[in-house]
Amino acid sequence: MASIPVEQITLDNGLRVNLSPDSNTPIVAVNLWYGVGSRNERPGKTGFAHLFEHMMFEGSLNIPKGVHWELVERAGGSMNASTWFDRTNYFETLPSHHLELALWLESDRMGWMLPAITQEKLENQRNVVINEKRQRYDNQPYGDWGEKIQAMVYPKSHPYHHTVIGSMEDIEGSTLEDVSDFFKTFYVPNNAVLTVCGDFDPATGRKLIQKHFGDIPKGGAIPEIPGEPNLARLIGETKREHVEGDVPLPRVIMAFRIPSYTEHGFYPADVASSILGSGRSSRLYDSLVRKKRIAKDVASFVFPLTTGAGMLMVWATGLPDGSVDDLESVLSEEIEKMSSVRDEEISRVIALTETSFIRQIEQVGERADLLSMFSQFFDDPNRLNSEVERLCSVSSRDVETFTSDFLGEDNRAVLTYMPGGDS
Amino acid sequence: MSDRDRTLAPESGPIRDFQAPSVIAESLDNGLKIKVARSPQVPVVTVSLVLDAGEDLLGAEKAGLAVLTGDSLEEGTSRWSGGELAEQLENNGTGLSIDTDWDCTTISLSCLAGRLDTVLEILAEVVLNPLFPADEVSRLVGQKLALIEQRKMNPGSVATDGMRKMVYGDMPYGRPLGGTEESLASMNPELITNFWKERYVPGGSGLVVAGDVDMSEIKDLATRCFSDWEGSVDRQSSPTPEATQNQGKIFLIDRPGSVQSEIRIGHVGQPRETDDYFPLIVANTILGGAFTSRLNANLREKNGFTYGVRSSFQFRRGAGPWGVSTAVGTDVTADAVKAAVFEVEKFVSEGPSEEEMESSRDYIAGVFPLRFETTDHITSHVVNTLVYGLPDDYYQSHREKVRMVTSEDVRQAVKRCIRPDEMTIVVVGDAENVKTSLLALGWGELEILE
Repeated sequence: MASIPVEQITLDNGLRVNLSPDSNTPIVAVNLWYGVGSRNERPGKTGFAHLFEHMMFEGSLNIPKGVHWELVERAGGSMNASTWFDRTNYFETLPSHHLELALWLESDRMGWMLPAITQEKLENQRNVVINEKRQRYDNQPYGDWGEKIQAMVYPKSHPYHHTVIGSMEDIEGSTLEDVSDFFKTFYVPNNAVLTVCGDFDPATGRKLIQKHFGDIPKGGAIPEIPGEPNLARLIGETKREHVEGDVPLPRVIMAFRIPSYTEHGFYPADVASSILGSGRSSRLYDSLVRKKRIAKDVASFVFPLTTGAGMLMVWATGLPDGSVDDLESVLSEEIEKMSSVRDEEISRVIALTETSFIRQIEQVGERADLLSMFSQFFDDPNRLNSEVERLCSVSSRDVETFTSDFLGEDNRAVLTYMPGGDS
Repeated sequence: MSDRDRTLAPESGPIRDFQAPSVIAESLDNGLKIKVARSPQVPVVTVSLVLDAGEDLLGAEKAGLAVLTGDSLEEGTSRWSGGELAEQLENNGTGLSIDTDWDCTTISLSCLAGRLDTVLEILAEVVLNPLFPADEVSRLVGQKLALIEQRKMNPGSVATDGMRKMVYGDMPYGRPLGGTEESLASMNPELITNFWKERYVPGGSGLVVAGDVDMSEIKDLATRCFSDWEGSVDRQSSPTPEATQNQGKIFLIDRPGSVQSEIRIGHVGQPRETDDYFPLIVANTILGGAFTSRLNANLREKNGFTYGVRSSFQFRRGAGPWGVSTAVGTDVTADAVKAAVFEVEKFVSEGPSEEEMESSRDYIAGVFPLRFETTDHITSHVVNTLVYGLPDDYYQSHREKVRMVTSEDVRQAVKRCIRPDEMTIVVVGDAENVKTSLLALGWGELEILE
């Protein structure tokens, strides 16, 4: 399959490094995964991982506020960061002769971020994050779906029970001390993976990485994930919530607990999700959109999460006069029918996955992100080269077994939205 | 290591030259242009067929016809039903992406190189032999009407649609790209078939291929797939808008209970062919294109009003809109409008600093190779050269042209093309909570719309 070269080294301070040279285009990606996400947040402090991701752009000891962006844009680079359940990532892609710039910037905020934080910066970014939450969730029809689904699929004691964006109250209550504690605990080299991918000479790359990251002191042991990360395999019932309100069309979202991404059982779930909802020949599109004509659009996807259990979701948005009952009953029928899967469906899904995977790793930024992910989750970046094979090894029998184990009514969260009611 | 000076940014290494892939151009006897951009050693090929079949020449009663025609292509051909067609494509690991905008319709797909022959034959079948079955078309229309319902409740879409309407009035650019409830209600297979007959023709269209392929191979393949295709389209000139309508007015679209206000500020912009194109992309980077832009520095990084703010010129065949776009907390709506207008006015009156000039030129020129990383990036650039009549070597000199832009060029272009007196403002938010402070700005007449 794929044959992406990758050399792994570990610095004395515990920083894991992947080097993956490719001189096709004169650009280079620098990608950092920190092993911290919303799952590491304690009660009363939800949304902190994401808020502190914002603080990482507010300057560090040697880099004043705003200068990080200025220098990367000036170099002709693009950059960003994101926070997810299990991790926070930071990434730059830039013309390859600016590799050292990115390493300097990333190392300065890994090692020397704390001296630069101020109350003013925290307040500014708190406001930015509150506006991000309003813009992306509160002010959007269906914007609370993630919050509601997570709360049904994962019990209160589980770290995936709350959303990445967190609660406004918690965000408003954050203090400089919280920021400081969080960084000291999690933003340490022994909790990070650094990947450099693209047009660079590995020997030079190694030297530069040692130069910039080598003297960052190792941190302490990473605290255990709070709450109860271990979960029963199944939700144990069908949970439901119905929302009537400010939405334009009926919508049904169904979610199922599935094996975590670190288990082999994840792959049949991924294939099942694609058979249900990837492309126009998928079962849900063919049934709900094309044949029965009760849905405007359908989707299915998996969250490849690593703590206790992942999640598979299907959703259907109805037409203006439609009902959620019709949508739900046809979705349920289609899910039941997954007890029988044809080999040609498996090959189609694999063909689609193969193309999209190869297109994804065409881009150095994406490739670097995957290498960091495979290091963080599996301690094995080379897994990138065999990932499609793991999908290819899934048989129709595996998907059928997955269906009977995980897609039943004893493992289901159903969220329905209907227009009308109180706005 | 520890005695090293961390305070200084490291010097950059030796720069490696980058050239945009060169484009080989040919055409078939029927007029279909073929452009091949060779990108060696990549396993994926991207193909785009671009047709002179955009929305911009359609009257109000046919609004959305071009989009609907494009989307209906997937509903079946003489050989396959819609479902069978989807299977054909997806068995080959690909799918069509059909994108209709004001200027053109582009049908694209990416596949592994070994499957190109098969996939291109499917593409030809879709474009040359579509059936537009009546019941499938009516289903699509139903989906589009549902989409309109969705857009009505999305504050960002309401603001964007509202702004278009206020600035362009009854001109095509004033309506939503996909059409209106009224126009969609009158759509039928006959209209679609006629539009397809008229506009889906080889003369005026182009086939763009990027990947590890060469022209002789592509030309043979294109000949096999497309040589029976006939006809050509005479390009009429794009609509030229009069001056911006509703200048100096604030329209407040009431969305009770809204926790944020969506803000759009703008006026009629420039067509793609403007002589000011390069000065304007530099100018926009400084004003609101980059993260470090003046607008973002003020509204986000200084004041925390918003998650982000952007400005843009939408360069089309005709003069598309110029404007500023953001979403801000309800309580700071008027402050944010004031700050945005302040930055625009200041930029127009003062022009850019030399430092801003340098960094924005460096940014646009430097980021250039990142925009050519994949085969679909490459095809989209080549498609642009076809749509806007640019030379095949256009991108070879792109960075040079950016580097030649002076601060005086920017100053002049901005004075010509951004006119604070002509701006219209649209706010979508909780009128009860924001109207008083918006009025107090004294910026212009305020009209509240339900």
